[in-house]
Amino acid sequence: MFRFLVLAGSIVVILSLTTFGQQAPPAPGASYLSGVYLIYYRTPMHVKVSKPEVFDDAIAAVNQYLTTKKVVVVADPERGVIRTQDTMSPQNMANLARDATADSVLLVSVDRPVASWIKLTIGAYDLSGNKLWEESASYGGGMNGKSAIDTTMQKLEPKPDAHLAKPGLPVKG
Amino acid sequence: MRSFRVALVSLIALTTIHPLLGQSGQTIIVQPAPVPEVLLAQNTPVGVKLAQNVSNKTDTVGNKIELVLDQDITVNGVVLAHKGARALGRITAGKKDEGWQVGKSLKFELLDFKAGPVRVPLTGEIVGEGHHNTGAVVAATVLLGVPGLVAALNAPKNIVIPEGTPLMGYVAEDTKIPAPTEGPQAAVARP
Repeated sequence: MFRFLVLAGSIVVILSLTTFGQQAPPAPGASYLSGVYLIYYRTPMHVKVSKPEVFDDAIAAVNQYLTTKKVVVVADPERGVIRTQDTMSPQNMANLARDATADSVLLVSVDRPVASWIKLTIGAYDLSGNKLWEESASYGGGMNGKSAIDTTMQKLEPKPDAHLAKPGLPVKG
Repeated sequence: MRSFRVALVSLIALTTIHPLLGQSGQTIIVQPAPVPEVLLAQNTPVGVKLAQNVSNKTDTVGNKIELVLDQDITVNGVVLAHKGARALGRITAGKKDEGWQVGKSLKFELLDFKAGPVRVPLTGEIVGEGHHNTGAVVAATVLLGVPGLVAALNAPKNIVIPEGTPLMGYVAEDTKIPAPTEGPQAAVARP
């Protein structure tokens, strides 16, 4: 009897080990988490008047915001995140997003208007190139632009918050 | 003692049989059929167009630029890459540094385009000329990667080569591309 139990136990162990590690294939038509394709655009005025370090700092601030809010960003397969100083049509932005398997585009423009130290604009587009929404903020106070990015982000952040978990700002979970 | 022996034999059988099951009992190894390849010959002309504006006002050397194929790339009736597929270029002469001054010239080289899983190297240098008097812009391809020096007799102002400008490049070297199979993955031509 004991021998039978040992043999039966061994068979059960063998069967369980052979199936261990195998994952069930995803159900056909199952939805996968997609994300947003990110493009940072530096305006000609910012190139003329401001410094590339300011552009870098602005990108870091926006990245920090997106990370904090758990926004799903899809990397470009060739270039990671697009940083450009040239304009591109929404249709071509959407084509790049489609190639990267993203489902929307987030265009972050860093500008340096005459009356402001910095102006940040975040615009979302769908894969047809249609603008979904756009939010912006700027800061022109103070004697210099040292706190401009922080102040601008404080003014900007509540605006895109309203679009979280919607097209343009997909979030994890 | 006998039960211990039975347990020991079962354990040995377990360690022996388990890997075999994983290999031959459940998994069938199928040798993939060789994928036919199509040769895209060196110097094959490739029509591309700009997918963004390029300017000596903003673009500095090394900036990557986006282009798309302006036509299907076909060899012996097999479409290797569809119109609208992505291509890349890189600025080789433009704005020198930050500030107000614009670049004296504007050039960029074509890098590659994507044909299925393969990146096909391209050659060709695009030169934009701006003329002080007219502001006219000419985009010309210098053939086969030989760097061309276009003397700017007139001091250039802003040179902008607009998005959508058709350009010509050439395949830089013989490239074998797996023949695409028809299916849902097939690329769709874009406007």
